[in-house]
Amino acid sequence: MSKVVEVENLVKRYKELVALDHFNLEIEEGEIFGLLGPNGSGKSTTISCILGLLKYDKGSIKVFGKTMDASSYDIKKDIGVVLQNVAVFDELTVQENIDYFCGLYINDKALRKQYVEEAIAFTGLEEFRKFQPKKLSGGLLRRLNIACGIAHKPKLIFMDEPTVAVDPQSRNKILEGIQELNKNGATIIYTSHYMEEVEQICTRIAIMDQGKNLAIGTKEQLKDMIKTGEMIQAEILDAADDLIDKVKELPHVYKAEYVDNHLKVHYTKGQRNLVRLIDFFKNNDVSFGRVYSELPTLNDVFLEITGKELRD
Amino acid sequence: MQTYKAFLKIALKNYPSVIIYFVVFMIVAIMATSQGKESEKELYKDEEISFTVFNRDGSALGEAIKDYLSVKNTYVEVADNEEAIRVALYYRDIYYAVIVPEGFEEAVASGKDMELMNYKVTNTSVGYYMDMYIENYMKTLKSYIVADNDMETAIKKTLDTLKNSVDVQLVADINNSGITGNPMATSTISDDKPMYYYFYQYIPYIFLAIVITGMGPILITFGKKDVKMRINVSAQSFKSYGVQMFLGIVTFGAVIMGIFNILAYVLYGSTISMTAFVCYLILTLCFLLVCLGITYFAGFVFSKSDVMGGFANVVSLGFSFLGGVFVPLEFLGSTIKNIARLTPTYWYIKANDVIVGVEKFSDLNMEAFMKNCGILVLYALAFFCIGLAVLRYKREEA
Ligand SMILES: Nc1ncnc2c1ncn2[C@@H]1O[C@H](COP(=O)(O)OP(=O)(O)OP(=O)(O)O)[C@@H](O)[C@H]1O
Ligand SMILES: [Mg+2]
Repeated sequence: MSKVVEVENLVKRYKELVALDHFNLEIEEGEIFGLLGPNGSGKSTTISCILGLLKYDKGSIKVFGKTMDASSYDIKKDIGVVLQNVAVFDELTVQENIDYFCGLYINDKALRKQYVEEAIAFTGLEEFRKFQPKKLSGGLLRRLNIACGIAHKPKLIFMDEPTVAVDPQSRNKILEGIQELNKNGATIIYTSHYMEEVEQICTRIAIMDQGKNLAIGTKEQLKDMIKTGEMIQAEILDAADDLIDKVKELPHVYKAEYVDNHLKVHYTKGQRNLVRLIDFFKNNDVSFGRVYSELPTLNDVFLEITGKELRD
Repeated sequence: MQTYKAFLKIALKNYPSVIIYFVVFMIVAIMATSQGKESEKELYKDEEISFTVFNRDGSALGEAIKDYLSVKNTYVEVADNEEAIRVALYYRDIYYAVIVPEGFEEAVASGKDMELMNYKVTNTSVGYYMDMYIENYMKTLKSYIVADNDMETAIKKTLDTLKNSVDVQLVADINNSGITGNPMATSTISDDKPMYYYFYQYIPYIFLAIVITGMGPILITFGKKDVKMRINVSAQSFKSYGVQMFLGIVTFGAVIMGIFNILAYVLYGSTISMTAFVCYLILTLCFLLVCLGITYFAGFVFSKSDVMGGFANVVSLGFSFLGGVFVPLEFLGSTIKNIARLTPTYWYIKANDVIVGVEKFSDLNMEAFMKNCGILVLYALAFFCIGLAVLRYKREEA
């Protein structure tokens, strides 16, 4: 597999603010790569640098193995971009917009017509082709934004939070669409601060904060990096302090707390934790209500790596 | 040519606001033209003008002038004193009074310069018409005198010559427009300018309004940060993009230039000389550049099309009022006149004054024309430079 994007020691400053601090990234062909980070962590800045939209202070960027800069038109022709903000012409219709942006890449008229039709079908905008953008709902507008970015069938697609402010139904459609693009051969770089989205579609994920790439891997690899395993909660009416102390003695438990009639038991790795806990309750004559187990999320990963929540 | 095509497409979609300006302009132009037709009718009408002649010279020439004017007009007897004349003019008993001063015939016979004097109702074309009549008569008469005729023969020959050709001659003279050498010719009469003068006088207003409302939003749309980013990451080169935008602007400008100058030619082609028309082409082009410069600059300053519409109104009306498009400069106070000099419209109107009535190239005050056009081009450059400065400033902000 060949590397599609290679970013090495990238430093980008906005005056005093260091937006990217020796940032490294490698993306393989065929991936859906997720850049996960809170607001202001530098996701958009990273993409802008890779695309040659921003000058950077240090480091190197290669795309398709070639050094990328603002006039690398031979590289740019294979790239598609869906930016964070909707970027379309208010005066042009849905179809005219897609045709315009597609035409910046595809000169052949017949081919372009075919591509525009395919993009309209792909994003489900058939009924709206004659609409002006301001007559579209938020979700449809996002789909138009995507259609404009991918109509020319690029090999590498950047998507910067394409689902911001989109209702769940539209969001799922968009995510399915991204997976389909990937199946058809496109490498995708996807940024978000919604961990569920990233977990759902990305093959590999980089966690970034304050301009740094803190961890990189598949979601399983990322979850393995942290000591948190599952967390089991049980409803107990009334738990004595010594009971909690006994729970802490159980294997793999690193933390136990009793809040609002709920006993929360945090485990590091290990198996059969739930069975062992229920046995423990029975042996100690503890009457308990609902018991449920939660697997660690990327939020836990993020929390452990950075010491703060992914979402504000 | 994707960007060029999109530019034109968006320009066409902006047409409603442009059409409104165009319609308003057409109404004004047509109204002005029909008014013009009326005054032309008045000028060439066969209706008789009441006049009087005071033959203080008591000469045959004085009587001959009276006879000549009586051919087409009505002689009215008025007492030869200031008060009576004023009353007669006031009540329109007469529109014109010719005074043949003492020694006039002798002076003419011996080739000396002596002018007839007159009183007339001001601000009507009637006085102008009579001036023409008399001017014409004197010219013809003098040419017979110069050709060694005695006074009696000269008078007779002049009457014969003019009787048949009065109207034709007059039309030609009026187009020539410059009647000079009348010491008492009261004030310049404002409706003695040809209609195309007024048409071109309103051009700055309509150009500013149409170019800013029509093209401003296009520049704003293409300049929107996100659209710009998307264009910048595309496979279209910066150079190709720039060239296409430039072509779009040129096309837009050419269409505006074309429409209004063709319109001018259709409406006034018969009264405008080729030289004047060419001068107007140059002048309107210079002013178009100013409009493009202002729009270019405004396109970077404003980010909303509505704001651009407001700006178009303020600039087109403001410059037009200040610069003498709507109100002739003579009527403005000296402070305002000084401010007016800062507007490009002021220099355009001055150039219009230079061009009006020019028949052939040698009539043109080349220096004044070049100066006014040059100042317009400088204005255009200044606005482009301010635009670039704003662009740079915004880049640094980003
Ligand atoms: N043009 C700019 N000038 C100055 N600072 C900027 C500029 N653009 C971004 N920044 C700063 O750089 C940092 C990274 O911003 P960036 O937009 O890359 O974050 P992000 O991860 O995309 O955030 P979000 O999730 O909100 O889109 C932020 O602190 C931001 O305030
Ligand atoms: Mg962002």
